[in-house]
Amino acid sequence: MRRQKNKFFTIVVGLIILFGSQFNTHAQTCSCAAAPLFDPIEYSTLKDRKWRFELSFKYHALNDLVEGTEKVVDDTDRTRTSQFLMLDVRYSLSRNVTLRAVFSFARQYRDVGISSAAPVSTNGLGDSMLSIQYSPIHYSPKNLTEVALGGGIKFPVGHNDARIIGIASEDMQPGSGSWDTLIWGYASHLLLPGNGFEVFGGVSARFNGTNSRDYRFGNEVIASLGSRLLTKNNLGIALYGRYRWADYDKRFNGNVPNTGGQWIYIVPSITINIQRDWGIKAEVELPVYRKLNGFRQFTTTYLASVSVFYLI
Amino acid sequence: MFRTKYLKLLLIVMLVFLPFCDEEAVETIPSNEWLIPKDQIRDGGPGKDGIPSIDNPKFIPIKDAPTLNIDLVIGIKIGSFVRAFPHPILDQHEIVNHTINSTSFALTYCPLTGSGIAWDTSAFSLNKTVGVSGQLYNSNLIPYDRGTDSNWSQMMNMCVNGQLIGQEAKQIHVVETTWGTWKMMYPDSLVLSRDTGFNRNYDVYPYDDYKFSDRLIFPVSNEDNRLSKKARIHGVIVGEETKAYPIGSFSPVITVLNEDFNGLEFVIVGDSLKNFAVSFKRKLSDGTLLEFEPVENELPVIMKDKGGSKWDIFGNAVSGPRVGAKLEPTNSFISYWFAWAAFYPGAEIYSGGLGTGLIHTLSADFLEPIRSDSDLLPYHEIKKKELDRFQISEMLTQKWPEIVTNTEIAPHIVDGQIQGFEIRNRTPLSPLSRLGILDGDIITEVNSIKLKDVYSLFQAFQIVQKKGKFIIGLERNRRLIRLLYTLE
Repeated sequence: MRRQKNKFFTIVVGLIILFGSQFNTHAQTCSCAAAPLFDPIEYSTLKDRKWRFELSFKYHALNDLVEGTEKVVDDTDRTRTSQFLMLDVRYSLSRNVTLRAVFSFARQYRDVGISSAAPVSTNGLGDSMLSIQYSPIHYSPKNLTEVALGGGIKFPVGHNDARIIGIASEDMQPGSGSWDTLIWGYASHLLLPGNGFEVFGGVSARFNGTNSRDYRFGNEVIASLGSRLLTKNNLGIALYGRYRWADYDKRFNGNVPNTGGQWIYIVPSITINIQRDWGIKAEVELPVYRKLNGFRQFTTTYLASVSVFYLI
Repeated sequence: MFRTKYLKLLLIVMLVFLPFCDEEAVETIPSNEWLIPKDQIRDGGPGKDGIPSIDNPKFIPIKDAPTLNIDLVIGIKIGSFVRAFPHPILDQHEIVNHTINSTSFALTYCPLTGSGIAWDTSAFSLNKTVGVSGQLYNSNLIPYDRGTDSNWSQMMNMCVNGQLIGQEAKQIHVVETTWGTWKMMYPDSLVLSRDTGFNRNYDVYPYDDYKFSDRLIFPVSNEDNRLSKKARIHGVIVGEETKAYPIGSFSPVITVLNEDFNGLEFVIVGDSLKNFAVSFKRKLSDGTLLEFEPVENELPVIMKDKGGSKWDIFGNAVSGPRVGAKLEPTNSFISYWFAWAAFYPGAEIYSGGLGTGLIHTLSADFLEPIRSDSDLLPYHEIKKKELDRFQISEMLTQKWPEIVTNTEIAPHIVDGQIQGFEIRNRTPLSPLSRLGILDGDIITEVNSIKLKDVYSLFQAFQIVQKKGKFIIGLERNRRLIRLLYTLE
């Protein structure tokens, strides 16, 4: 049994590495193309002095061309994807305080179907984040509510001068090249403790800095609300909605046209806890409503991710 | 057990990151020689052909063309064939490949630098069409030719990379003016159809307020603040020297300047209201040097020489002793000032009789968004006023209720349509009085927004509140007057 589980673990890691090894060409951007380092529903607390590692692969297809709220036909037959390999490391100093670091490797890809030109892509280290989380209230036999607050800094270690002949556009860069600040809050409540059914919600805000080319990605706010059921056979099923608001990107103190807007996604997610100390998770983020700034924008078609996590 | 866990973890991290240790973001296209600094080239975002050129353009008679939101057009005349290309279509395609009378050309227009230039593509060999590379230099379009895949700098008129490197593009003379002026000049010409084969809404300007604001999206190599960034200028290149003629610095009537710049004798003709400027060499092939003077109200004729021949806007003698003769265009084109300053640093600037400050006053913010024929009404008088920004702001925010309650603002109705708002019973201390508006004045437009309903009146109020410069057009005692305001 144990051998089988180890084999399964190896296969999962192998798949992620296989996807990751595709990162060998070039990069591309839009106001949704940055590495999704912060997931407001992933702030649940760890037990004292515990490590948690999560390795994930995210595939972000940005092929929907949207004019305001309407999806329109893209007559250039463009394919735009972002792929991220992310390592999320957490360590709990105590039940109340958790340190967290996220590292990413990004690949941006762009192909204009009507062009005879070859697709272009960039890749390199993406954005990384260091953060601290304080959990004043956490689950206990007497307490069915958990609350966490946190803040962090996203630092510009990523590759930010990738070229596609000239300097690649900002959305095609693997890293944003700016120091950003994040804050968030998270709360969950167990409705049916015996059955492991909880509702949760989280809000995060990101205040972006300006990079060396005087470009600043739009500040954003993300709010999520959903529910999660942990079954007795260690299967976690979650469904939540996510609202995202992003301001216009800025350059030279002015708005960059056709950036920013509002999005609502629905996110089904499934977690399989293979053993007590590790498991896998898969989820897909699907847009259900968009109201985008400017004339037209390419934006999320879907964001799929698969990850493996490990507790020590 | 514990050790196994750590080993497993270490293995994951190593396997994941090892393949990327020596990775750098890679260029897809092999590096080769460029005549422009490669580190100043920017990928614009949409990618090569992501902004699709129009390669099979359709044309329709002007009378069938929708007029909505056409501000400016670029016109071409080859032989007797005359075509107009509206800016709103060019904003979204940037290049139109077309052949007239066996002359193949690419009309290129960069919405970020406001530069419209046509190239004779016969010399581009093989496939003679030109596409949008998706790269920018000094914010300006880099077209590529599909014959050799060479990259060209639009505003340098030169191939800057690839097989044809160093080759200069042969320009075809174009005329850029308001849609209304064009229709008046060439009512029987054809205009590029919106049936481009692409799914686009050409009533929407795709760059927000870019052409009306002073901001840029991409960096440029040289900034020169002598003019507003988006002031449209007609730039003339003579050897190593250039001279910029802000279109707004011309009078609102046809103005002719017989110039001698850096050894080149040429004539430049401009009109700020009709929003055009063209220039031609004054010396004919037989060595005759011509002097020109303006001709009003005979468009497309714009000038005559002292021998009595009249010349049209494309430089053709259409009557008089020299009929059939043609003037050679100068090496010139229209662009936004910031782009000209970036490509041609140190350009001399023609200031007209207005002085540098007023060139700012008459810059793009005022004169670009001319949207209909009635903009061509000959204004009898233009008055310029400088006002205190703080006072105006205070007036318009705090005293707006006073304007509305103490002044009668009545719709001026002509043929059942609102054609402006008449001001009555204004008090001497009213903010409207401070703006120089009198009882009986009919305010017809603000910054080219026609006041045809209450909504447009509200829009106009917002413009006055937000802009540092604005124009109020009004009718006073049957005279049309434009009041130009600068808030200091």
